[in-house]
Amino acid sequence: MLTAASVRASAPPWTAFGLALLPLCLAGLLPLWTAAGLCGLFALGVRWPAWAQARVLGTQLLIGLGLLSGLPGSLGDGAALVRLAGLYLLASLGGFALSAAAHALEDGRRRALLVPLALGLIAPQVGVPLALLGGALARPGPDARRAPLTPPEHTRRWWGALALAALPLLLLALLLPAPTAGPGSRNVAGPAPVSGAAPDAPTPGPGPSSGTGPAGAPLLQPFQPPVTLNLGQSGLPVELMLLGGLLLAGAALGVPALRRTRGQPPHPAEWLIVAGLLLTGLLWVVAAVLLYLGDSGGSAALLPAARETQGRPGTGGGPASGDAARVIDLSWLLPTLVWATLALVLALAGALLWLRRQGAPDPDLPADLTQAPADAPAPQAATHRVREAYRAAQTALSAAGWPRAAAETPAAYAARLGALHPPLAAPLATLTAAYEPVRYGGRLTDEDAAQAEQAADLLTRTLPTLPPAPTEDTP
Amino acid sequence: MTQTLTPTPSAHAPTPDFARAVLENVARVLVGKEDVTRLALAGILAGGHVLLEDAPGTGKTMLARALAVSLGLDFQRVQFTPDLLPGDVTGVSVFRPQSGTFEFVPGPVFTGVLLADEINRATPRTQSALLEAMGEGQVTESGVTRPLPAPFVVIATQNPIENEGTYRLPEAQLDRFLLRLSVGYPTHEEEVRMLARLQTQHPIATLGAVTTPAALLDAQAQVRAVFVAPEVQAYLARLSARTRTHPSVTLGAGPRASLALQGVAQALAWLAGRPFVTPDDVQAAAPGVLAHRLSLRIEARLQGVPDHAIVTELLKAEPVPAELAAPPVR
Repeated sequence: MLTAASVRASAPPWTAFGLALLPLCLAGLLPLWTAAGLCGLFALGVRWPAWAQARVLGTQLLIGLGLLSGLPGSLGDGAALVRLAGLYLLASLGGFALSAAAHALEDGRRRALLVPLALGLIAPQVGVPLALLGGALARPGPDARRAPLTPPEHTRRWWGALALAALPLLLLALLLPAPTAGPGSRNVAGPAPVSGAAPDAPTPGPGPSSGTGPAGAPLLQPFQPPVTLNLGQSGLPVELMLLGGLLLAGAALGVPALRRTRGQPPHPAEWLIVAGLLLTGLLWVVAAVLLYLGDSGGSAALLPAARETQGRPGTGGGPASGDAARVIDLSWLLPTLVWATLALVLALAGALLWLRRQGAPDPDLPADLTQAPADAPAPQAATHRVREAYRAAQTALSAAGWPRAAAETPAAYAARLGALHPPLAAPLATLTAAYEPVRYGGRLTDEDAAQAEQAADLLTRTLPTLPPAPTEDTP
Repeated sequence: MTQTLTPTPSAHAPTPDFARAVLENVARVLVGKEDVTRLALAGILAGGHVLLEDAPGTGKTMLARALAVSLGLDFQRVQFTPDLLPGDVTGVSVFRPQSGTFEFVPGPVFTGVLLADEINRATPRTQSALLEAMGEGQVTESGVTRPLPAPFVVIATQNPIENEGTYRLPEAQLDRFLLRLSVGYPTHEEEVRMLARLQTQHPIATLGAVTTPAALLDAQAQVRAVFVAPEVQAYLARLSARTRTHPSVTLGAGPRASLALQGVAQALAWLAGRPFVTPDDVQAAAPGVLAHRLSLRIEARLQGVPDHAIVTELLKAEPVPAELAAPPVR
């Protein structure tokens, strides 16, 4: 007999919290407190799925805040500002990649571990193996993987419009005249370590070359990036970053609108999302402007220090001024990013157009038949349709307060819920009868798949008509 | 649309008629015990032996007799007593003065169904005489090995209440029993029904065979062909392994127990007319297969923790292989 405690939804296994170690791969690029904050955010997402939605933009928010803490030390030093902007862009892209990797790991894709590995190789430190270990631990087993979630129609429309708007903007950005490259390679880096300090440790203390850092405020010392990055010639059109920032800011305005259409009060994670979007958009715009000015050579007023410090040994600017062994050559990164971004956007636009074309009704068919494909499930290559239908039904039942206990068999679950709510008995029995041969019988035909999907759909529609599930507070 | 399929479930068509006939026949003499009858039949179909453990008068012997008669097997009953000798069970070689040779006189073990009544009353030496017969289907006497007829089933009974004059079955002997079942007392309604049915005549006298030994052998072959998905096998193995690490258990279930659990689960699936095993089959079989194989710590024994309660606890703790719900989206 199952007890109420055993039926209650259980917390994720401890291994799932390995995901919280993943941001440690960025600890070489970010202040320690930012990396710790990212770990906390990832852990929140593991424990409470609502926070997982804020993972991408919460990561961006924390990265932005982390590198903004280095701003006081760079004010008045143009070169330091340019370095900070470049480092921010690199960390921001790393944050996006890391969020995507976390998502892929939760889907059970082992290859996603390559992302923290690659990010860790940019600035190797002791957190990298921990991040890899955590990612490997967090990878769930086949049954614990979530079903691919299909976003609501209005969300898809919003993102589709956003992506389509990005395409002409991107083309425009590429057609605009590129800024004149500055003399020699540009270095985006933190200050050189203070003489005598350990080379691997972030050096606390006042600002780098300008000496204008808040030396008198030890609790608020600016972050000094521990690595020196040689980004080479700027190949990245700054307009692209500018537009990217504007698009992100536009998306920030769209998120509350989406929530309002759902009629739900905003979750704290949603505030995090909006804050992350706004800050990321803003910082991308600022970084684009800074890099543009640094490249064009027309910013003598802003960047005198940048000109002076490049190639001058002993100052706190470029690679010549710091430890030569800590210069990381990433001159290939920016051109690669340009082409990769272009290819990604083009592929996205192509995919959207193709999907739109697929969903368009055939003019030769009667109207009633053309509506059928909209309801037809997408072909599932990896997971059988019946299993997807069962998982969708189980998700809906769990959300309604009737989850299946981990040790409860599908048949026992169907019997229990069927006895509790007779309207659910028939669709649950149909669904379970179709599910068992697929899951346990090695039968991989789609013979009963449509029936199972109908049963899952009926279950989902029946659930709102049932009385709410008792909670712990229910007497 | 049909996807490419790889593991094909067993191609045979299950014959629930066989099972239905036997179960209905046994139900004529044993009222309201369909579940235990089904499990006992599953044990026989899996090629194993069954230990019935319960208080006196609950129908253990009746179940054994009804099963033997229904299956059309030869039936021998041995009342185990402290003075029973191994030769009384397996047979002895008798000297024939006329021919000057020893002639083997087969014991009651040479039969289809051997009912070892109150098996724990015999000495361990006599109990052990059954080990070879139950494990390998043969008897070795005076250096000569003789095969037992097939199918060969031992259905033993024992009373767990009495300790006086009994010898607890050794672990090796217990492990030879595929299942240990408890018949249990009937409910009030079942008891009233039984009284009405048995008022004038006990139907065991009129019970006849509803199948043949050949059909049973065929059914056993079909049971072995029931498909067990690798995930279900892994689930089953995890259950067995958990018994070895339970804090109240000194000696958990061995690999033989895992094999037994799979066999009984296959038989239960076959009895349900299903060509594949589900976790429900494993869960239904687990208490009967695993509980008597556990050796409990002295603390657990003193606290009166029953072994089947440990198996039930493990069943509630071990996740079954099934889809999990996606994380709820607020």
